[in-house]
Amino acid sequence: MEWLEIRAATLENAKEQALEHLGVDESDAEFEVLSEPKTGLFGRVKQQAHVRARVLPTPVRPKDVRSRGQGNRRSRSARQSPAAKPDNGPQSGSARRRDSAGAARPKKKDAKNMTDTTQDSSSGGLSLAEQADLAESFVQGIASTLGITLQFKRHDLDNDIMRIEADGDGVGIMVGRRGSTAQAIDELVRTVLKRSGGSISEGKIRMDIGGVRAKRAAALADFTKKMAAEALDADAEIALEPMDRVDRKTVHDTIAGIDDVESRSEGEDPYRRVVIAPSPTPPPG
Amino acid sequence: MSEQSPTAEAMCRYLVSNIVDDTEAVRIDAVAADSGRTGGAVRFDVQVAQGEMGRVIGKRGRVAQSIRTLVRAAGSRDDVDVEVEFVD
Repeated sequence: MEWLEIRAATLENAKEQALEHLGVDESDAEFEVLSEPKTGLFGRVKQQAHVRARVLPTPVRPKDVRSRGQGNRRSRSARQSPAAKPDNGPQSGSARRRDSAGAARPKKKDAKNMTDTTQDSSSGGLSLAEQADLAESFVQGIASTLGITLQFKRHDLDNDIMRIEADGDGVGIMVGRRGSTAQAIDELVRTVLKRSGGSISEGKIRMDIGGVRAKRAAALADFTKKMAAEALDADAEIALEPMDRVDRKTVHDTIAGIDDVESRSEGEDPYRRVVIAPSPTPPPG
Repeated sequence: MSEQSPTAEAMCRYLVSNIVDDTEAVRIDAVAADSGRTGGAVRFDVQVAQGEMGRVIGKRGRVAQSIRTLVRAAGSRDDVDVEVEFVD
């Protein structure tokens, strides 16, 4: 896994930004402090904190705790390139019931879908495909309570993250005002996954009800570009509204692709916000 | 099962049961409350096994808030206002 270098006013900010860029929990990341921040006269930042971070490589799990002797089959399927993976198209609507053994044993179809299974299964948790199965079955349970049948579509993103889009007739009630219900479902999916797979599993599955997350990310990226242009025009910093870390990551990612501007997060949740600023011109010499 | 909002109660039970280990210990008491809605309002007092409350509430109450959001959405199916209280 690649190291990511971040500079910020304080160590804490640098770490926070790094976590946002990596999209993982602090427990899943490794940090190295390259330099401590120094403040000059009147608390002016003389030297920024400089840290590097990466997603913690997961240790190989000892043989005896591998679940039900599936290690060999899994590592074979792990060699399949992620690009060759078929999209796991719409699935049968009804809630798939599974006993605990079933949950730990993916169907053959799912086994093909595994990306980096060696890493996932070694984490002591579930593989990505198993997490996706669990997440889909949990969300379908919610939908069934509301009399809705969902279809799921899996999309692989970077860093072993999978976005699952759920859609179906009457899904609107599961989206809610400004996506609040969809967000609540995503939060609960994370909780359920964490409970069954340990903290390593956290943050690997993004449940996107009604595709609102993708739409929102696209709209936010557009907005971010506009704000970046404004910041450059005015040669001034622009602070955005407070937003959650998923949205902040969208902003940071968008800014990272634009020249001459940079972004940082400020404040504490739930008021943490992104500030877009023109990149400082390097001092002469 | 709550007579006022069976959908909301089913939702509440489903969510909480998926978060705790001891599903047998999950208890949901429906208490009628006042509301402007046609279907009225109901409050669910949720109890879980000792030591599992933290899990249901989550960091900064995020899990509890998510449960409330979903249970409220389910309540709107029965045109009922729903509150969820986690009772320790």
